[in-house]
Amino acid sequence: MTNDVFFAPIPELNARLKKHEFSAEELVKAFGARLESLGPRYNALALPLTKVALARAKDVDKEIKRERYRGPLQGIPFGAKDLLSFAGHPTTWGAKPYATQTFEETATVLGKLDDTGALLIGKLSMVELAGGGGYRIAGASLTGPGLNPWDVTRWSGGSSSGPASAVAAGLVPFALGSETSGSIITPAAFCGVTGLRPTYGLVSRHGAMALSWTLDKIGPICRSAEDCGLVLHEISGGDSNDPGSAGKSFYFAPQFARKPAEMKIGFAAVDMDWADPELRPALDAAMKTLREMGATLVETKLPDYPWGALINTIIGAEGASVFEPLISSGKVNELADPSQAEGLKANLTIPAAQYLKAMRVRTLVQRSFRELFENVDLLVAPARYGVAPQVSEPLDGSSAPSRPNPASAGMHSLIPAANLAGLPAISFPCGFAGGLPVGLQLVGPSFRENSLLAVAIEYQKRTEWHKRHPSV
Amino acid sequence: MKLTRRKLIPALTLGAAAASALAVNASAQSAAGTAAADPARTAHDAVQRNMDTLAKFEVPMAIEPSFQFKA
Repeated sequence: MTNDVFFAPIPELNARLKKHEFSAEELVKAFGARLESLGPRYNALALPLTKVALARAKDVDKEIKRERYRGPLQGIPFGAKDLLSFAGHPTTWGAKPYATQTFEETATVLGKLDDTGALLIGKLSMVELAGGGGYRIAGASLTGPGLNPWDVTRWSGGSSSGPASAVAAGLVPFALGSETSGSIITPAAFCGVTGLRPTYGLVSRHGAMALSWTLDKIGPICRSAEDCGLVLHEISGGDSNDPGSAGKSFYFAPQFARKPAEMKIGFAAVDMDWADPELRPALDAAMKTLREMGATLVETKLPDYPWGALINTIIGAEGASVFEPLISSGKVNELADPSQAEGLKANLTIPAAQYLKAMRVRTLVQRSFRELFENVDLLVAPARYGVAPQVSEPLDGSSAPSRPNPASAGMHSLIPAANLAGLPAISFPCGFAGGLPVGLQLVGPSFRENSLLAVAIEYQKRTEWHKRHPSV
Repeated sequence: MKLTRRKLIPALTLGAAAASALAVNASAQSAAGTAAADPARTAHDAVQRNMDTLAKFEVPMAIEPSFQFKA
């Protein structure tokens, strides 16, 4: 099997399966061997499942032979963040206290993908407990620090570290990650892949580790926006087992969304001042491409709320409640990052009144975003304002040189703000700085994933950034 | 003490809850410096700072929490 297969988009792989250029079994063997041999190089692999997938691949091949086609994911190998349960196999949540944990039930999303004929070849690494206590080091994971395939001295981002680095290195065609506040967007940007955070409630979380019931989302990390749309189409939908389920499905049909040329996209010029100088050429060029697509870029101001206090209070209170048994047992101290352990303990002291106040402010946040989206269709901002940090750097940025704050806040709080409002987002590569990927982020109103995808797909038709891959 | 962009951006946008123990107010700079030495103190300080920040934010009585209870 040639190297191009490992970086091919989903439709191409599926078409070649149908043409019998290779079988699903051969594809699983090739990707499985690659994941098992190269995954540890990036600390991306939590659990290989090639043998399980091979057995399933034989059934898929029989179906393809009979021309019983299930859709574009049929026969496509994939990986899943190790917070999704897969019956009978360990699900560690990236954390030592849960290293031997198994579940009897498979997560809804994995069941849905199995129904499409997609083949799970491995569980992928993650920041322990999805960073629930607040982590300060890249090594906050059972599998060690997530290493970036573009430069292994750099962090892959978190908490969906393994999914992003595995897709970037061509170890899996696509992966499932999750986001509470930034865990898809950040690693997708750092690793130069495309990540889609769906609207809260669009994808079932049944069988996934809970960190924050009112913030957790599961979404795809892929090579392209089109691939993200194809995967989201299959994993979305109502689920009575998920109390947060919106009971809605997503039909991937970007052609019926408003055309990018008809869209008004809100941006903040001051974001360029927030971004590290080496990112600015890539970000400038990306904004120029959006204009060339015909989109009208409109200077927009993000509502003014205490974003950090809000998101920290909500994740803190809900996460401490989720992990109260871990905290009270003392096993919390087995976590790799002491800041996580102490953060979880401290978060148990968050008063109920403070949590409720944060949730009430959140009501205002949602109203503010509804008003904002009366004037613009989407928002655009840098996915991250710097490239992937060194693995050895503290993640609070305290080792980096300081520059004075720009005059206004711009969109730099867009990740926590949009997560608080439950809004969908997509991050896609828009260039490089010093050999490391730079990502652009689009955010839209609830359940407008097709609008996000329409713009990102058009952008990727005009650029080649998403087709670049690291030397592996 | 002035909060710089280097402190503010990671605190607001790191994955999942990396932000939760990171301060987003004037004392954040010193908090980061003491994290390695005393993570427990840093974590409790962060909770207190969030509480202080939210205390300053007024919410009308009619505004209810944004979650729904389904019976």
